[in-house]
Amino acid sequence: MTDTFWQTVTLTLQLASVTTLILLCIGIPLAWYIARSQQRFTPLIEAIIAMPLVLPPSVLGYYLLVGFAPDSAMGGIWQHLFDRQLAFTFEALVIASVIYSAPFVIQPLVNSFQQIPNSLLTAATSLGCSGWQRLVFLVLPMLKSTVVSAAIMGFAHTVGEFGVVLMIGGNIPGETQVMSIALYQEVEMLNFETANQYAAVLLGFSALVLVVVYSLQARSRVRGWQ
Amino acid sequence: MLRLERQQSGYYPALTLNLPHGFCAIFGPSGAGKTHLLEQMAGLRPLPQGSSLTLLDRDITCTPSGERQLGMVFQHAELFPHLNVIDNICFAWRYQSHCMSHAVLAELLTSLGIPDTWHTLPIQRLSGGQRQRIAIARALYSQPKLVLLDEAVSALDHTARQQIFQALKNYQKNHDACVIFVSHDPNDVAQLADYVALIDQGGNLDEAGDVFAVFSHIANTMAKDDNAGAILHATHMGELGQYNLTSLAIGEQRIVCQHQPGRIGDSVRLRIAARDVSIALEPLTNTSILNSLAVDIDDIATHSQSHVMLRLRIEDQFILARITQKSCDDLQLAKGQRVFAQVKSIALIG
Repeated sequence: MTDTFWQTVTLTLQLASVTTLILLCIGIPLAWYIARSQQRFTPLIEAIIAMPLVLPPSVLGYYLLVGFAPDSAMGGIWQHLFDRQLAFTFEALVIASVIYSAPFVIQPLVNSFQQIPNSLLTAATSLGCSGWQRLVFLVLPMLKSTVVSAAIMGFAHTVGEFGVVLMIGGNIPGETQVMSIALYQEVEMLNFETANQYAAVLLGFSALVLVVVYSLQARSRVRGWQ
Repeated sequence: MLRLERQQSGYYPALTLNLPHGFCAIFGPSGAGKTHLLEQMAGLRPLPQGSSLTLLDRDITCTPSGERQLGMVFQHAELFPHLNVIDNICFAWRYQSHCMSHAVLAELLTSLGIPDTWHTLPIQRLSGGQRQRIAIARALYSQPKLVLLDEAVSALDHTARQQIFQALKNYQKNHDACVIFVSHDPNDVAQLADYVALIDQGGNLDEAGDVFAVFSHIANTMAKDDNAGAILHATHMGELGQYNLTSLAIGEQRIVCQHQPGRIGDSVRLRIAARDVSIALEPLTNTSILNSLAVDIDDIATHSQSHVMLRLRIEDQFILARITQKSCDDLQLAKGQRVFAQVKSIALIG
């Protein structure tokens, strides 16, 4: 296994870790809001979050590429702030991954939050819990395994993403080259030995993720939750 | 003291309540909106526009529930399923500073009959009655000044009820708290409450006042209940040992009830159900009924075509008697008349 191989693996794990962290920070409060909100525009927020589930990755990648261009609003602001373009950078990959993996983290959280009986939340309120304290001290500990499952799914989905990364990241080794892209490139170059290594790592990782997620779900069922 | 002025709230009518410090009961039939009212006091339901709620002269109408310094016990305990017993009880420790010390908590748990061996049990292992005790301990842990109980003891047996009532009395005394409880069991109200607010089927306030006075009225919601009955003060006069009975004095007159531990001279509270009282114009002899009291008819109210309710004065207290209209007519009962009340059953309630 070459240095490039390990560099690609490390970059992929870095991207997935940063994406998962950001998704948890944004996703938990957003999912809580969606689960508790009765506003008329809440379905619109849910639809926007779920869009990557039905949109071809190339379409999402294309719009992000256009949005990251220096002459676009977002790309222009980035250029102004950091004096370099956003497209084809690690940061662009992170933003794209957060958007692309969001439904895999947020939707299970929303579903679980909605299953918590209102009476338990009312009891917590009567004990002096404010809105965010109910989330932090009651809901998240109660749904610990769901949160871990959602984080793992977000991480795994980021590791495996291809279309969006190809569109906005290019294939710059050490900067934007992740495992799924590297695998594609190795196959194109008929370098099946390295391609096998990437494929085996991705396959093993995916299998491991699914076993962990289903184990957590089984444990939750045994404890009487979800 | 808690004062609530509520405008019309959904199906429920406008209502004004002044509840003094101590134990206050909200009594009424199912569907009268008692829980709704309690949740509005707790801030768990919004009060309608124009309503106001004050606790100890502090306006808490718009105060969030979490800042009202209250503890509430729900009818179905509502314990947190992922926490064990002690973590449920001490839940508020995570975010509140005015929780009980270990010593005070230990005393509370003992008084509620929660042994140390329960502490690490998952709550799924507990029975309904055990869960309710945990819920009461959880509500009292943050030392609230206002304690709200929504049918909190309805799932408990007699012994557990007595234990919890005593624990609540101790808490109220030690923390000078206002305890408001909802119940549809007149025995619970009679035993625990100092003050009672009667809510009728439509959600209107029927009557509110001192529990002895309200329970001795003959035309309110309570009197129409099948379990209607007056509460009286009596003095413990000792045991009739060989019969397992306790002798009590109401003024100069003596009655007996099932043996209850106590010391001679102790003041006790007893409840006589109206349906357990019959009337005779003369003292009966050769009867199995042990208790016969000389009383004066204070008032008569017709409750239905078949039954009337009598209010009978004994010293400066009252007994209620529900008899048939026919008996009333046959005996030609009238206000001020001296009669003899035969009491079939007496409940000593505290």
